[in-house]
This record gives sequence, structure tokens and C-alpha cells, in this order.
Amino acid sequence: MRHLKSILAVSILLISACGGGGGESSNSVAQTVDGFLQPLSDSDDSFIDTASNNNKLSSISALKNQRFTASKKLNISLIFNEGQPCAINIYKDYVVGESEEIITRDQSRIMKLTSDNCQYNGPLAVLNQQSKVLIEIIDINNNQINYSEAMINGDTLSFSAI
Amino acid sequence: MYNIPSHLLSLAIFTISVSMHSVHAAPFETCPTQAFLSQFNNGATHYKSVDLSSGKVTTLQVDDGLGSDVVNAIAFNEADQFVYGFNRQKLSLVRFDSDFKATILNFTNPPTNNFYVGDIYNNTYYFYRKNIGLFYTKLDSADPDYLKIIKVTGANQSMNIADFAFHPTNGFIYAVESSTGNLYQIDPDSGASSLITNTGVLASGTHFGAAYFDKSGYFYAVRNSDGHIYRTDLTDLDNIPDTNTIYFAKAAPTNSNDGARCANAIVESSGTDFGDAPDSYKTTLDDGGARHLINYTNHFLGSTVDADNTDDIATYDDNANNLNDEDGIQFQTSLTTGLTAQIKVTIGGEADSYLGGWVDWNADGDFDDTNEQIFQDKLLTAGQHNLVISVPVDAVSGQTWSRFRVNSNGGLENTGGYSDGEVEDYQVTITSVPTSYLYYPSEEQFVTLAYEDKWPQKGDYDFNDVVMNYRVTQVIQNNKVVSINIDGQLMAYGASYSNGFAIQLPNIARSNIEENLILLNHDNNAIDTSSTLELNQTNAVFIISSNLKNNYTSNCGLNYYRTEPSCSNDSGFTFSINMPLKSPIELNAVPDMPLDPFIFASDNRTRNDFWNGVMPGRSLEVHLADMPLTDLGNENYFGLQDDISQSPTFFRTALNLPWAIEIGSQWQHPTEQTDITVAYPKFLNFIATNGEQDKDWFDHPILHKIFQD
Repeated sequence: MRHLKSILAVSILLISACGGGGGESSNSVAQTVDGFLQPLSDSDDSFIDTASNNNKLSSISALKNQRFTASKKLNISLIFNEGQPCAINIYKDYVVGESEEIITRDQSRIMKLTSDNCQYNGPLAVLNQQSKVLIEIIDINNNQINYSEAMINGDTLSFSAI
Repeated sequence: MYNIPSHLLSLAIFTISVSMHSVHAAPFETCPTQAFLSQFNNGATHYKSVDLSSGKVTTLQVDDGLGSDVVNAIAFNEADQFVYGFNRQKLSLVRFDSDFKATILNFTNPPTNNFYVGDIYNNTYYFYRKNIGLFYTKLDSADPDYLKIIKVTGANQSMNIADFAFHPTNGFIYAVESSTGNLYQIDPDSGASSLITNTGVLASGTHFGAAYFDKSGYFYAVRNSDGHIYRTDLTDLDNIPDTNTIYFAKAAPTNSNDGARCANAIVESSGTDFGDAPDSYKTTLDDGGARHLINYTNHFLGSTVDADNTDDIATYDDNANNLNDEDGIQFQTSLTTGLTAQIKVTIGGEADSYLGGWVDWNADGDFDDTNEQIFQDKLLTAGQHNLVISVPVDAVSGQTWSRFRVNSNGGLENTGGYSDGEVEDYQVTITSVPTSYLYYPSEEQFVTLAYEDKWPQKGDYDFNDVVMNYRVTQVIQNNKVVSINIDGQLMAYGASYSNGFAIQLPNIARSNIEENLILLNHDNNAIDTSSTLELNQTNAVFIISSNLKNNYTSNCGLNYYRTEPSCSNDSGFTFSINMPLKSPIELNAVPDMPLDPFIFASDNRTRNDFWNGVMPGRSLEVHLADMPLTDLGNENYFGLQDDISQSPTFFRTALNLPWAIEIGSQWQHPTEQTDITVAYPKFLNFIATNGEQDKDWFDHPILHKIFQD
């Protein structure tokens, strides 16, 4: 069926080609009510370029080590709250407001940890396009929350308290 | 001079009067679903409607044309669609049009006493008063007894009731006594009454001032002092349930109350937010479930609220099928027995709101046990609040449900309706040991897996033959992973061939899977897992579907799903699987994300031309680049046609291009036969720079080249 679709598409293109032959700039044609033909440009309102850009994936060669997966693994060591019990949440999406208030995107949480000593040593998978994460440290006993923003540099995190 | 007989003159004046008034005296157009109240406030009788579903009270009229007269014992007459009542000052009957404007109808034999209990059946108005008796008058003007008061002799006169209502089908009257909660059935012909049940609800020091029926046979009584509406199940009078009366909704409290309603109207909800928990928690309208009339401005949880169908419960995903409005509660920490936990509550809008919260700690299917209410009318300002709760030491480990409600006035119960606010139900997990989670890519987001299925022939690179949203959750206890859980959503199927979908856990032995505890859901329904953990494999391999084409429905050509813009689809496919480990493993022993999800050829199905009619079946696997076959994959296919697999390189062409890619977002795939680089031109540079540039290529589509709903 895919072959059939291709053949049909080619046929339509050929038919269109048979009808062509004229240029757009002929001034010998009588002017119509809407004046001369004025080709659309990409910047015209509501103009959508329906033509293909003719790109083809098969026209390019990838390196042998090109990865087609979306993440990398960090190995991180965290310790907060002077080693006292806490919960640690890490978010990939968040907003730091003008007055430095933190608004977390709860659905973007990537770690939810309960720890007797407020520590975590282990892996963390982050998306390739991620450049930073937000770490939320919850002192449950005192119902206090602190935040730390961590930048992703290669396979490591570097911290800055907020 | 001819003298007109006085009775004819009266009739003529009456006729003229009625005809003049009829211009304005329109009856109610239909049998209305709302109930009506008369209440005496500020020197006049006010008339209000009551939405029994939510308890919302709306004032309809404050000037009935009768000045300061008190009108009580109101009733709806289905025969003429007017409301009638008893005028305390004039001791007359009053008829109300649909605007609640009054017309006095004098009795031919006026009474001496005031009456405040009344209802209508078969075009006959019945009224009652304790120690005086039961009476009726005909409302059909052609009836010889029209507006004549007739006493029902022998009637029980001892019932301390403030209103009564006729059952819509059996012709008996029902009333609940305030001081005892007794529900009486009264025969309108003989006046004899019988006690049929006790509601278990009292109105001590006040009254059940309004009584109604609905078409199904449910009886409603409104308690004046707090506006609580209780519903008694009289749908089958031969089998009245032991627990027959439930709290149903909250209306406004009042000092005076009388009710009228068309008993043959159903009680329905509209513009109402419902919970999502199973109905044992009382979620649907039928069960008097938790519900709120929605108000988009204030008194909701999270960013917004939407209206739901009453039966969208439990396995129905409210957020996926409607606005993503179940967003006001975030469990910041695990719920571990004996420990405290923190919950982030977001009050939407700008106004203060009352919060109620419940957790079914003993997992018995209700929120009614001692200590299951965790927040009681907690007044919160708009914005976020971090609240701490204590998880009981004897809470039952495992999954259970929680319910959170807000409204403007408090008094929140775990069931019933309110005239504003929102309810959000959450399924939660209680653990006996502290539990942590690693989410990939996050707790509620997905990455996308996109496959070409013509391997070992290269395909058309539209990467929409199979498109799957995909998320991994690692469950951690005592610093080791005890379970790996995966959620997925089929986003496209642009292939005529039949493909299965499976997940391999590289370097995790099949023997380390607690097979009896595997839980696999298709579209939120648990399915048989006897063949989910695949046999004859060294690594653990989980078959999610042996043929995805059987998991969705489509009306598109070749049964494609969401790849062609011109056709719509009927239903998709979601899955979730819990893969518990016998021996917990170290965090670093978990395979790199995204593990090894792959597609495979369904058995007994033909494939592309390369196979020339041979049906490779399960032995044909298509993995992400450089991921290995499972034991059941046939390595003899490596190196055929366009594939150049040679360890450690797998599933690549001579140009090192793959048959499957993982995209770090919830991707909008290309339309059918659109090359990925046509739809996403930056993908070319991403490859040309070996992934160093245009890492967000997937965020820059050519819009008309991608599939959009």
C-alpha cells in the first residue's frame, strides 16, 4: 500500500508538471481585477509553506558513537540538614520568582527521598537537554523547607543555595 | 331592570380576573428538577430554589405580592404545574406562578387554624397539623369539592412533623419526625400512619422543615438549623436498607423552611466536580458522593477545577480525559507508618478556603474510621501550604485512597454535595519502611520511544510505526531498589504490520523477579500476568503486549492510529507494570535509562517485502541502537539487508542510523511518510554535531508536518 501511495503521489506531481511552463513575471498578460500576480513570501500573514524542505535522514551519516537515547546518568552525593532526618525532592522544572520564591512543577519531580541522615549517594538519570535541577530539602521535624539549585556540568552537579 | 344574580356576577368577575391575571400567571413549563423553599425573612416570605445535588440555594422571589403574609405548606402540583401554599394570615390557599407571584384562592369553607405541612397528589392538596388533623381540598375547578376543605377522619394527629411529601408512585405520604428521626408512612385516604424505619438522624430543637421526593423514590429532608440535606432510600419499600439515610448535601441554614418539589423529576447534577475514588468511598451522585458546584474564581485546589460526569471514578483518568485539574495536592514525602509526612496543598483563586482531608488508613474502602480525617475545616489562604500529618503506626501497607475537599464555608464531610469548592481524590501508597523513588524522566512526565518496524530494511524514517510515551519509577527501600515500575501510553501506530512491545532489564536476572507479584494493567485494568515474564530468558523480559494492534481501536485505513491527519481514532492504549524484585539490588546495578524497551514481530503475521512471506514472529526484535537482543531474538538476522549489527554495535545502518530513537519529551511525531528531518529539520544538525548542538531539536517542529489532534 505504501508503494501504491508513492506511485499516486508521483503521478499527481507529473500531472501538475504538465500543466506548467509559464513564468510568474510575464507582463503581457491582461491585468485582472486583483492586479498582477504577486507571489507569497514566508513573511506574509497566514502563509504556510506546505512544500517539503526535501530533507532526508538517509542523506546524512551519524558517528558510530552517536547516541539516540535521551538521558545520561549522574552519580551524585548529597548531604543536607546536618545529617538529621529529612526528605529530599529533586525537580527538573521550577521557577525562581523575582523575590526568589520557589515554584516547583510537581509533576516534574525526579527524586523523592526519605532519609534518616539526609544523605543520598547514587545515580540520577537526567535528560540530555537538562542544564539544572532544583533540590528541595524538607526538615519534617521542624516543617521547614530549603532549596538548592544544582547546575549539571557534564556528569556532575554543582550547587548554589537559594 | 334586569338584576344579575349575585353568584353569576361573582363568577363573571372571577373569570375576568383570572383571564387578566393569566397573562402573567404562567405555570412552570416542565416538571422542574430543582426543589423549592419558602422561608420567612425580613418581614416577607421569600421563595428559593434548591439544587439537591449540591445544596445550592438561589433566591427566586422576595415579593410575592402578599406583603408580610407568611406562606407555608407549599407543594408542587403536577396537574397544572403551579405551586400552592397556605397563607397564614388570610387562612387561604395561594397559587404561585413560575415567578412566584401569588394568587389568593379562598376556601369555600375557610378554616380557623394555620397549617404548615402540605403536599399535592392527583390534583388534591393535603395539609396537616399536629393535634388538628389531616385535611384535603380539590384543585380541579371542575370538581364539586373545589377549594372545599375536607377532613380525613381518623387520621393520626400525634406526629410532630414540619413537612411531608408524596411518594411519586405509591400514593402514600412520608414524613420524618424531628425529635425521633422516625420516618412515617401515611395513608391519605384513612389518615392512618405507620412507622417504617428510623433514619438515625435527628433535628432536636429544630425541624426537618422541607421534605421532597425524586422520581427514583428517594426521600429528602432538610434540617433547618444547619441546612443539611439527608436522603433516605425508599426506592424499594419492601426492602428498605438497614443504613437507609445518608448525608447528601448542604444547603443554607434557616429558622423557617417549607419545601415543594415535582416528585417525578430526577435529581441531577450539572457543572459539578466529583471525586475519582472507587464508589465504596461514596463518589457518585447515586451514592450521595463528594461533589461541588464549581466556581472558577475561588475555592478550588490547584490551578483550576472542571465539571465531571458522576460515574467517572477509579480507573477513569480524570486529568487525561478532561482538564488537568487534579493538581492541588502533592505528597511531598512518603507515607510511612509511624512517621510524619508532609503534604503540599495549593489553594487556587484568591479567597480563603476551608480544607478537609481523609485517608483510608485501614484500606477498608471508606473514610469513616476513627482517625481517618486528617484535616477538619482547616482555614487556608490562597497559595501553597506545607502541612504535616502523622501516619498511624497501624496503617495498612499498600495502596489506598485519600480525599481532599475545599469550600467557602466549611462543615466539610467526606461525602455529600456543597454549593462551591472542589474535591480531589488521590490513590496513595503506605509503606511500613521508609520508601524513596527515582523517576525517569519525572513523576508524571514521559519520554517518547519511536520505532521503525521494517528492520532489517531501513524504513521511511517517519518514526511513527510505533510511538510510545514511557516512564520508569524505581522504588527504593533501605538504599536498594525493590521494584521497577513502568508506565506507558501508545501515542501512534503507523504500521500495517503487527508489533508487540516488551521491556528487557539488562543484567537483571529473570530469576530475581517476584513473578507472583507482577502487576500489569492495560487501560487501568489488571490483566492476567501468567505469561508477562517471558520464559526461556536469562534477563528479565516483560511482554507488555504481544500485538499492539489488538490494544486500540481505529477507523483509519490499515488500522493506523494517530498518524494521518484526516482520520480520527476511537481509543488508545495505556499500560502500567510493577516489576518487583526478589532480592533488592544496589542503585547502581539498575540498568541505565530507559532500560531496554523494544518491539517485536507478532506471531503468525506477515511483514515487509524483505521477509518474502516468511513470518519471523517473536524472533524478530527491534531495539534502540546498540541494545542487545534478548535470548529469544534471532541474531542470524543481524547483518541482513540494511543492518550492520556487529557487537557491540546493534541495530544501525551503514550510516549508523537507528531503527528506534528515544526523545526526551512527550514528542509530537511526524505524519505518515514524513521523514523526521522534514518535520524536525534541526535533527540533522543534532546528528551532524554528534548530539552536541540542537539538543532540543524535538521542540522545533514544522507544524504541518507533525501529527496534531
